[in-house]
Order: sequence, then structure tokens, then C-alpha cells
Amino acid sequence: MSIVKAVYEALVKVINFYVLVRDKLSPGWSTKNSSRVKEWKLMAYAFSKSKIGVLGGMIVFVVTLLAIIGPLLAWEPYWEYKVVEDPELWYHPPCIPPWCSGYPLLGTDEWGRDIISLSFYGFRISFVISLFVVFLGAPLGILLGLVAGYKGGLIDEVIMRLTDIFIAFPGLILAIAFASVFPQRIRAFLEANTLLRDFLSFIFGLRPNEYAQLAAILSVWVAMVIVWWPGYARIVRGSVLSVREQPFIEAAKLVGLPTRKILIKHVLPNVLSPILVMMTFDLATATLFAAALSFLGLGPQEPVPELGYLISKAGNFFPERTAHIVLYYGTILLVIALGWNLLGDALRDVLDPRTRRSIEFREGG
Amino acid sequence: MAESLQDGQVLKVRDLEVKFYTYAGVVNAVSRISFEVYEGEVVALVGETGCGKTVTTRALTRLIEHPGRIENGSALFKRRNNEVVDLLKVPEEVIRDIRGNEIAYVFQDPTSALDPLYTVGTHIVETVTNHRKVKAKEVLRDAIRLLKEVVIPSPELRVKNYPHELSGGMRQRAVIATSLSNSPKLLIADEPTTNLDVTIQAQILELLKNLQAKYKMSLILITHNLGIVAEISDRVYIMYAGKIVEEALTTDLYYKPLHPYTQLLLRSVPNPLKRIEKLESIPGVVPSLINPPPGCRFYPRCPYATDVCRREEPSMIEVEPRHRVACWLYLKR
Repeated sequence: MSIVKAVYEALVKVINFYVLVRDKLSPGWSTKNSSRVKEWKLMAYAFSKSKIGVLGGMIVFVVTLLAIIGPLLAWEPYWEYKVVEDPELWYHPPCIPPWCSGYPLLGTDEWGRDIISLSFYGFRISFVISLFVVFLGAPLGILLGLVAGYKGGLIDEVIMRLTDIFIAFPGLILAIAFASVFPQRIRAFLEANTLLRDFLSFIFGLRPNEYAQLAAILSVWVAMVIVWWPGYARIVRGSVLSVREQPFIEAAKLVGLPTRKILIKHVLPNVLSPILVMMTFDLATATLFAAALSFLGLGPQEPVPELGYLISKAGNFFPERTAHIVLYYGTILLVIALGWNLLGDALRDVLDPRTRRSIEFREGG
Repeated sequence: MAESLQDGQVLKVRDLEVKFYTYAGVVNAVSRISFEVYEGEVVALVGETGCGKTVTTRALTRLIEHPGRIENGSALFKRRNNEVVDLLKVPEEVIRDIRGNEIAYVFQDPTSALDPLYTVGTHIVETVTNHRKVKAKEVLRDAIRLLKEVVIPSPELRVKNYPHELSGGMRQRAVIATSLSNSPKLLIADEPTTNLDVTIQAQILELLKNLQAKYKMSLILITHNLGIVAEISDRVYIMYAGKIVEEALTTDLYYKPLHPYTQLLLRSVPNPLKRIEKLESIPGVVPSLINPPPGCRFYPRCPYATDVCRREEPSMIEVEPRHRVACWLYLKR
């Protein structure tokens, strides 16, 4: 398989480059860590063997790239309402060259904006929200899970019952409740902190004067972080329970290490691989969750092109005039979710030493 | 402090009592045991599985996990700066500083005593830097010396190896090297050879003995193997069901065991010079440590049991110089 080989060689190049950099920074690093590097290369090989994983990886790569450079690529500013100049642009259907010309390829929305150009902004917003949610929600859950699992007793009981309460309550409803409370406060906060406002609008690829919408996006994000951690707390606690009984943890105690160091240096790295896999899956879930919240009207409003909001707006004239919009944005969400899921599936195999070895042995070394 | 250490003593444990509060009842894992360890001495703690050997040593550094509790007793320990502290009462920071630094452990199972994610060198570095402010690089150089000391071939390479890349004997050597890295005053070896090959066992014992002499540390050796005891220890404590029943110099113990349990124990070690039909064993089982029998704990299995054994607990008496036993046979003839 040429794809397998190409992907493997590309990954090995990346690894070699990293090793080179580390070696430059601290000479002798590569000889010291040769077995680790070998393991990484084996991981790269196992990953390149999984066609589905490679497909997922490519999708994720493209989506991430679009999210990063999307707002720069977008050829129409999202705040320009072209429909004012040309009434024809109102929900213009797709315009594919041989049969039609002069109008955007996949049609326009109600303000006459090109939906492809618009979606580039949407990529950025979805990506940033999901990334922030997972990278803030997960550490919170991991921390609580670590403490609960390791300490046991009353602390465990309190943390886990709190987790149970959050899990028992439907996440979407809880998030709706939070998302409808936060915006005013966050808005007032953003008005006071112009530096933060400018920074955040830069990250989301929006205009700085959009802070009302920014507040809505942030409230969705805060609401999601609040409902996001319980899953992690639970998974981590379960893994910690089995790791903390390992003799090397007792050995660490006998060496006199403080609890904080034991947790960070010995317990966490040993429970990390299921967490990594879960985080990749959750990036997909978070994207969809954020879209769902703004679909329900809790996210940003005009003119911010959030994917869920765009779909909900297109629902007004569905399907006669807006089928192309719903289909296009729906497909984008599907592809993002699919990419992360496929990647997560492959990562699960790659990060588990047992399946990794079995791939190695099947191939005869 | 009411009590103090005598000359040459490193550790003096008095009336140590550890109980486990389980759902089935209160387990008297260790009941009022007393012992002492002198400087540069090898002391063996011998007993059957579950008689409280490990719990005793864990209690010394207060690593008794819930639901266990240290109920009573004192453990005076002479630190490097000659300060005498009670290990059971000092603040948490002090005991943490003593662990791995002045009192080090060697584990029964070397396979799992090393974190699979870190190299042998990292383990040593961690142990040292946790107690002293030194550069990791210097420690790594020291680590190579330590690995050489525990007779690991090509230590420069091994120091970078992960635990799974080493053999069982090599891992145990690495664990020993780690425990020696702070040159402790007291080393506690908890059945260090149980999981090893018989041929490796002898090497590891030899190594422990040599290192103990070289580093001038005291060694508490926990084992159920009387062969090992004869090999390297100076003094022996025999434990039975959470109590110490006999204390003697190793040679005395083998020539003249006093307690019936010790006698039976020695008899059940097979003699390679004699042809035997059947291996000897001690009839009966260890009593449950939940509600132990009121009198002598050994009396249900003791061939010399009398009425007084059932009613009252014997106290330790010195029958011969440095040879003490807790048995009614020697108390009231």
C-alpha cells in the first residue's frame, strides 16, 4: 500500500525532526531516549496501517487547517449583506458553472452571503469552542477524578456524588439553563475588559465590536465546561483505583514523595491513554453539542456565522429554498464529527501497547 | 521523651499495636510487639504468611492504609544527625523526609515496584532529588556507580533502560540500587528473594549482606525462609500470629530453639542429608486474628499445651543471655 507507506514516512519524518530539535537543545537526548523514539515509530507504523485512522487523521488535519486559516481565506466578510444590492441573492440556489454563472457555487443565505465563504468562519468558531471545552473541561474532571480515586473515603464520596448529580441531570438541559443565565454578565465583563475582548474576538475570527455575540459564544462555552467534566472524573477515578494498588505507587510513597508528586508523576501518566482517546472523541461531541445549543437559539445571533445557528435560521424556508444550506452545513458538522471519531478509534489501538504489539507481530516485526 | 535509645541502637520499638477495622471485625494484625535493631546489624523477622511481619515494618514509617490504624506503641529511631525521634509521633513532613532517605525499603516483587513509564535512572534520580537539592545530572552519574555496586553489567546502558527491558534478578538489583541511593541508616528488605530464581536468590542475599557491611547500615530482613536467616542474619525474631514469640542470636536459635513453634518450624525445613519419606508440617492452622484466643496464641497447635496456656498469655522472659522467649514452659515449670 502506497498510502500506508507515505503516511508512515511522513510521520517518521516528523518524529525525526522532533528528535533532531531535542538533540540540538540538549545534546545526547536522542541516545538517551532511543527506546522511546523507537516506540513512537512503532506507534506511527501501527497508525499508518489503519486506513480508517489515516482517513480520520486527514479529515482532522484539513478541518484544523481550515479552522486556523479559514477566516483569512474567506473572500466575503460575514458582516456584508449583499442582498441589499442584488435581491437575486436572497437564498440563491447552488450555481454550478456549465448551467449557471455569476453567482456563488453553492448558493447564498438570506443576506446574500456566499455559504462557502461563510462556513470558513464557522469552522473557526466550532473548532475553538470544542477545543476550549475539552481542554478546560477535561483537566477539571481529571483533577477531581485523580483526587477522588487516590484519596478515597469521604473525599471520594463527596466528589463522586457531585459527579453523579451532574451526570444524572441531562447535560443539554443543564447547559441551556447555564447558557441562558450567563450572557448578560459575560457581556458586562467584556465591555469592561477591552483587551480580553479584542483577544477573544481575534481567536474566534470575529470583529471586536461583536462583543454581544462573543458573550453568547462564551456563555455556551462556559455552560459546556460545567457539564463536561463529570465523564472525565468518572473514567479517571476508575483507572486510578486500579493504578493506586500497584506496588510502584507504594514504592513511591516509601521513597517519601508527597502525594502531589505521586499523583502527577506516577498516577496520571499511567491513566493517560484512555483519557487521550476520550478527548479526541469528545472534540467531535463538543462540536455537535455547541452547534445544538446555538441551534436552539442560545448561542450567538446575527451576523455571527455559527454553524448550528445558520442551520436553525435556514429551517424557516426548508426545504424549498434552503435545502442547500442545511445540507452543506450539516455535512460539515458530520465530517468534523466523523474525522475526530475515526481518529479516536485508531488512537485507541495505537496507544494500547497490546494491540500495538499485535500489529507489529502480525507484520513480522 | 520518657524512653531513650541505648548505645548502638538504631531503632527501638515498644508495644507496637496495629489493628485493621474491617467489616468482618477488628483484626489484631500486630499485638504489642517490641524489638530493637542495633547499628550495622542484620535482624531477621521470621514468620508464616499473614503473621504481621510486613505490617510491622510498614507501621515504622506510618504507611498503614485505611482501614488499618496504629493503636499504640512507640518506635524510637536515631536519625543521621543523632537526633532521636519517635517515628509514630513525629509530624508528617519529618516522616516523609525519613522515608526513602534514612529508612529505605526493598520490595518483595521487583516487577511491579518500578513504574513502567520511567527508566531505572529516573527512579534513582527521583529518590535522591526528593530529599536533597542536587542536580539530576550529577545523580545520574551517581546512579551508574550504584548500579555497578549492585553488580549490574554495563550500568551505563542499563541506567537508561525501562523496567520491562530488564530480567527479574536485574530488576531486583535495580530496586536495591534505588533504595541505597540515599545511603539509608536502616534498610528493610521485605522478602526480597521470594519472586526470584533459586540461583539468583543466593546472589541477591550475598549482595545485600555485602552492601550492608559496606554502607554500615542496619538491615531488617523479612522472610519465611529459615535457610535465608541462617545465611545472613545476626539476630532473629520469630513472629507468630501478630506477636513475637522468640528472640535469639541466629546460632543460638539453630542449636537450641526454645519456643515449640520455632522447634516445629525448624523441623519442617527438609534436611538434604537425610532421606525422608514425607515432609514435616505443623498440624493445625494459624488462628484468626479477629478475636484471637485469650491465652498463648500457639496453644491450639502446641504439642506441650497445658491448662495455663489457654487461660493466660505468657510474657517474654530471658531464658539465657540474649535469648528470650514467650512460653509457659520456661516461665513456670
